[in-house]
Amino acid sequence: MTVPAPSSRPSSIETDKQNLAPPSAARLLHGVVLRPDQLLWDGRHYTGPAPVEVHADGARHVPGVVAIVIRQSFIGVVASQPGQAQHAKSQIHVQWSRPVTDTPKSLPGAPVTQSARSYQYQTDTQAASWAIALFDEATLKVWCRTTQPESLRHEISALLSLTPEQIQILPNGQYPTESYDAAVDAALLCIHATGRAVKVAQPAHPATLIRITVDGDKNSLTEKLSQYPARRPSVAALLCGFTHTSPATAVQNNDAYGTPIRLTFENPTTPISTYPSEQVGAAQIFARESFFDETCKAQKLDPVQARLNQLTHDLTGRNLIESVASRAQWNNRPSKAGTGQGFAYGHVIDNEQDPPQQIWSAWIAEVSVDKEGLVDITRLTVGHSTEELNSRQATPEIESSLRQFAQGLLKPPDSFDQWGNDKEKPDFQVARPNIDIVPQQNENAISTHIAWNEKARWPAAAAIANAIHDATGVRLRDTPFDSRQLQQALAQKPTPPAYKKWTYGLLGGIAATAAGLVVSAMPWRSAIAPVAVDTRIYSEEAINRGRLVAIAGDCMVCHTAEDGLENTGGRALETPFGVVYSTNITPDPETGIGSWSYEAFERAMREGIHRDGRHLYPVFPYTAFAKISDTDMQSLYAYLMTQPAVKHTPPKTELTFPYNARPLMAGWNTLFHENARFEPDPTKTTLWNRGAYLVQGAGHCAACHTPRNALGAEKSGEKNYLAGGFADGWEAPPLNELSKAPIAWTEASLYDYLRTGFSSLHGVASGPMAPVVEGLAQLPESDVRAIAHYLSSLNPGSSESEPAALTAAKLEEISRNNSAVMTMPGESLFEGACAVCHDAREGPPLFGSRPSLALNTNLHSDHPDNVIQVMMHGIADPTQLGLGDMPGFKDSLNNQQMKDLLEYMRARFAPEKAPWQGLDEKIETIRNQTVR
Amino acid sequence: MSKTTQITELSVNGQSHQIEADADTPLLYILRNDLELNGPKFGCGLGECGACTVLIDGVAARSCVLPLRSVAGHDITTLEGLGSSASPGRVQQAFIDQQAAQCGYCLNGMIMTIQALLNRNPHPTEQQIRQELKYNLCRCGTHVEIMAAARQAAQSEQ
Repeated sequence: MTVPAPSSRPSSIETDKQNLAPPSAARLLHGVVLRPDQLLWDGRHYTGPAPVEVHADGARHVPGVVAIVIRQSFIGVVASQPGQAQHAKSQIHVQWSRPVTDTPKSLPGAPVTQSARSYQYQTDTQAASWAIALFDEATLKVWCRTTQPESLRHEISALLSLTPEQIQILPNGQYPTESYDAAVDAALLCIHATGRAVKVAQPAHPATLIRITVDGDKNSLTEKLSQYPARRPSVAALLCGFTHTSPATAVQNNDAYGTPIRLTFENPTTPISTYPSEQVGAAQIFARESFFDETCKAQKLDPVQARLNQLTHDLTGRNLIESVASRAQWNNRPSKAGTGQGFAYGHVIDNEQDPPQQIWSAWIAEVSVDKEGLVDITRLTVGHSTEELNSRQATPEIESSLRQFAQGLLKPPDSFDQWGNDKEKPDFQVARPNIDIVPQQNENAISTHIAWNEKARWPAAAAIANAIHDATGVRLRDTPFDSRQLQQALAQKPTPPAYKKWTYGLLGGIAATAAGLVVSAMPWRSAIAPVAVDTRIYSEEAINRGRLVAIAGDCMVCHTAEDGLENTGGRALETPFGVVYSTNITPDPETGIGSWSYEAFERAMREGIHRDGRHLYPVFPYTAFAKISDTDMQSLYAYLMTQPAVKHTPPKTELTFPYNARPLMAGWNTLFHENARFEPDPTKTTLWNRGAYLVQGAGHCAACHTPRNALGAEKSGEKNYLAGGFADGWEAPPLNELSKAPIAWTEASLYDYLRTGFSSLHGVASGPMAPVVEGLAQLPESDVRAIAHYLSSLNPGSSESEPAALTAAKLEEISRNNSAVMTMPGESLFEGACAVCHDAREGPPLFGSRPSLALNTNLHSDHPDNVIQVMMHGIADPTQLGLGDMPGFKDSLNNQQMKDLLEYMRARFAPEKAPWQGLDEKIETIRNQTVR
Repeated sequence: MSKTTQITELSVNGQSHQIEADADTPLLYILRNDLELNGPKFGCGLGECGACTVLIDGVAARSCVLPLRSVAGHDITTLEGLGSSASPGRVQQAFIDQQAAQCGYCLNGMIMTIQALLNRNPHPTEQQIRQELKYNLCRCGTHVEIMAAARQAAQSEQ
């Protein structure tokens, strides 16, 4: 099958207004697709792994599943709810064929000769998007966002054997994220659910690297690419076996070099790029123009003059370069240390337009680089000419988009102290560069609308790289341009010996720590005078950032009573020393923290001292909060102070002697509290440090998950860190290598659990962990990923290579056929109370999940506490998956029955573990526990 | 966390309803108290006996342990949705024909569970029917009649 070339016939115009809106959310079905782990193609066909065997029976039995669609290598699930579709997807077991690697793997990008140079271009990240498709026998409607509606229409019509007239492509209002792939996925799925609309969400796609190796001599240039430069059909169409024939957007700099350019590929099969695949064109221009500049510098030629000498036939190109060079004063540029200018040129034929359009662009970038390697773009002169005059844009808009694009090519030093997509980079400021747009001939006015094509941005990267080289003599061949890499390269060049700032900084650090110790050992601390706080000074960004810090810190979990108003305090926290009530942290001046200055707030957060000088009990985890960075602490203050003030006095904490003697806490602090901000580990990645910062600081995970000593302090030592503890009568299981989970937690399963509250290989979040998951759901995805990444590094897991799904199946099988337990007294209780939902042996499929007890972490733990808690009180489903709640059996099972059940479940589902001891007391204690 | 009532849109027996209730309220209470659909019964309240069974997206569900928030956006069918006393549904007719009730309290669950089985598998075996009804409790002991009704329903073509 081939995809026919799109015709230029205009789209049929929809007149019925009602049909234009996508169906309401309540009526939608949800589709998810199961992709092979490697998406490869050879420029025409899909060549990645293909399914040899698909076992989808497990998925068919998941409630809410409407259809399972398998077509060649395309596998998808349609279900009533997104969570059900995801759950079903995880139940499909596919054995993939390994793709045929017909050539020995050449070293990627290994230069063939000495003159060869490799360049890496980082594509843009792609935001998450979605598409909806609805088939009603006669027409197929697709709501999506694409720049290629005609290609999409033809692709779908060829895939589904419909005429193009039967397909309507409607906008989904998501500008500018492409959802071409999701649109075809949705179309393929919706024909299996006639009359119901199917929504497919396409996850955000991180940036990927395109590698290009350029080599050449006098007669020819060779370009070796890591990805095909063709605009591809949808991933779904390729997976269904389609052959691609459309032409690529051609990069036409050939005449600019005076020699033909030959394209080769690192491998006959290359990864299928994210959409839009045209970014390969941008990568090609970056590689060619950098290489050209390198060649010119080696031969001591002026790159602009050399280019003009080559372009004998192309008058448009010549004129453009000449006017840009004169506007940027290329020939009389000053040669100041640390500044430089770079030139790059692009000539592109855009085959996606009908008829194809030519675009010329010439860039001169001016940069200054400081000693630390920080690059500042000071001026951009951008010349641009296009045959396409239809899409006109206002100059200021183009200027700001160019500024953003150019600055996006710079990579400031990474920091652990950035929230999600927070663009705020505190120690890195780029001044707004001046932008000159050189208009086309017969377009002479600035600040009016001019013809513009986005592909005119492509030479930007090479122009900046060439300018950085001009300024520093350092050649950067990878985008984005990394200031750390530049700094290292600059440091290797001979320079005068650096000032011994490092030693000084270290000494200062030691002094500060010593002073901190002395101060916190004082048994009585002075009050900080109440102040009237002016909250108008806080920016929207600071307040929003503070909100994220508060969520990560779970402030509202402890500071909100059952049925109380948020942050007004009064929640009872059971500690081994008595019940502590949380306080009102709304900005009410009398009963809350309204009259606390930032100084007082920070002292409380880092040292555990009330504004009035009283010591706070460490059930308030200031031991962790001390690690919070200054920017985050200030943002948190800004957030809390701008929330509604509520007058409310929660119950007073009254512990018995000696714990009521708060000054004694000073001694405790000397022994157990170190007031120090988080220090990133320079040997680890930013992601790891970010995770560590969140876990150790605001997230205060150790407060529950690290064992405590007799004085209620977290035990020190590496072995004890996150080694499991108790909180509120629940066990907080070990997160390090002491984990008792039958299947080792991985980064992926930790992410699932923290993001959704459920991991199909481990169980569901309940007890005090439930509100934590609720909070995490509001954090940026990247932060949850960082936490999962860091935590998984603490628990290297088993080195066995057995796939988790296979281990899971074995454990289930054992629990099903364990005949030894069938004579235990718990068997009939289990049959009556639990089996309808939890027995994998038999019984009807019920709506909701059937949580596997054989894989449950709690049943494999050394402590029965969490199982008893769940049996007594049930689980109010904290997940977003709608898996159903579990009722509590406190009032229907007596202690003996509970014990029989516990012994039975332990023997049946965790047969390799020793029986639990002391169940009678445990059951009695948890039953009588008043605080929950 | 404080609890608040909210408005949930619920689709029951093909009709859409706006329900104002706490999102944690069990579905059974909404069906019986708000919508006056008394087919589903309150038995144990713990999901054990099956008297409260309804269909959600065609699959059996124990409505006494399902909170309102987890069923929004799904198609809910109760006993009333299978047929009326004037024109009973296929499974209901079979239970009438076989006189399968003594006290009748469990029958809602029996009928709905058989309906769910037939949705999945139009021609179940005797063993499959037994398996399906395993966790629906009947204390009167009309099991013989219930099985006969289930067999009849499975054999009668729609």
